Amino acid sequence: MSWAAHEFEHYFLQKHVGVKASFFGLVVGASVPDLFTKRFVYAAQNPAQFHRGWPGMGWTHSFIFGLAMAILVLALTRSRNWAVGILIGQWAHVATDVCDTAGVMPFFPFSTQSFSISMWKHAAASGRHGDAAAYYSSLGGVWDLFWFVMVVLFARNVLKAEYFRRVVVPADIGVWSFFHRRLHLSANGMLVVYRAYFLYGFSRMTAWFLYARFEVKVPWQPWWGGPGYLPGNDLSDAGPGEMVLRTLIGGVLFCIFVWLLWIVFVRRLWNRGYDPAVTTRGKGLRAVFH
Amino acid sequence: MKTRLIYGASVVAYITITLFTKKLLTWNLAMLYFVVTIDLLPRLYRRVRFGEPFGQADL
Repeated sequence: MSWAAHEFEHYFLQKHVGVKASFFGLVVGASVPDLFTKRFVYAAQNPAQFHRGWPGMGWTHSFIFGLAMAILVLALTRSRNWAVGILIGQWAHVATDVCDTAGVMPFFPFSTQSFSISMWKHAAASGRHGDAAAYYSSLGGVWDLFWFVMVVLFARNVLKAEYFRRVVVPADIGVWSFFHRRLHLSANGMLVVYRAYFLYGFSRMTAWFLYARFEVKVPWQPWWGGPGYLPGNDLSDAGPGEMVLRTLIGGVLFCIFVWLLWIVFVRRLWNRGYDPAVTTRGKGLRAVFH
Repeated sequence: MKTRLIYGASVVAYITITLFTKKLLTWNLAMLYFVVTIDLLPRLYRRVRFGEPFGQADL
């Protein structure tokens, strides 16, 4: 599983969606897969199977779950920005979790094949602290650092107060008004809330890295499939070719399913949805990214 | 400059708390922590020290 990368991704995605998605939609979408599972993962008999597998809660880490949530939110609130935010946030979470040995079932239920590139070991079986130490001793920690650097180098403007006022607030005026009027947060306080995920990501990345190096002193092994001091936790015994083929078949079926959903009723929901005054959408991917 | 210092101090304190307690605040508590240390406490300090109003600033 990824740790701080999930927080940094919000800001990188925010740069690319601008006023076409709600920032909180992104956050909720990216948080929900682990919100449903993380609390119970460390107590499970087989944490990797429970977290990512089937039978288990692996469906929370599939594209169809994000799609279902987005459709539900669009139907209930009619807010396109929230639906788009949730969809992109959840899909980004799924794509990121492909990197560890447990992988994800991206096209569940059309394929229950776990897809993984095994960059680092899924170490939830070692408990919460052991998991943190293992993650920050492997390429997982480097992955977090990579996303931190990506945000700082290429998306740092989204952290600025001016961007927050000009883009983030108008894209989701309802939620920010709630913070302002009901929770009595100042403009500066809301800016802190917006930046908090970035600060949280940086803090937990640093703290757990220091914990792994100086507290439990586990070896730092940032190479493919590390850390070496833990056993592997693969959910699938399929070879790479078989894994790709099964996932591709699932992907094709998933695309057909999404297209059918769009024709049958999602297009109608989308058309009756509303956008904030500042949002103008183009066709295709331009409807979501700017 | 002062704002950056407050942000920096808040992050350093967070990391220290995490290392000492071995417990990482969950994301919702972390958000609350950052709002309190970066926004509310400095406002309270300015209120007590300089008598600045503690009200909301306009968007």
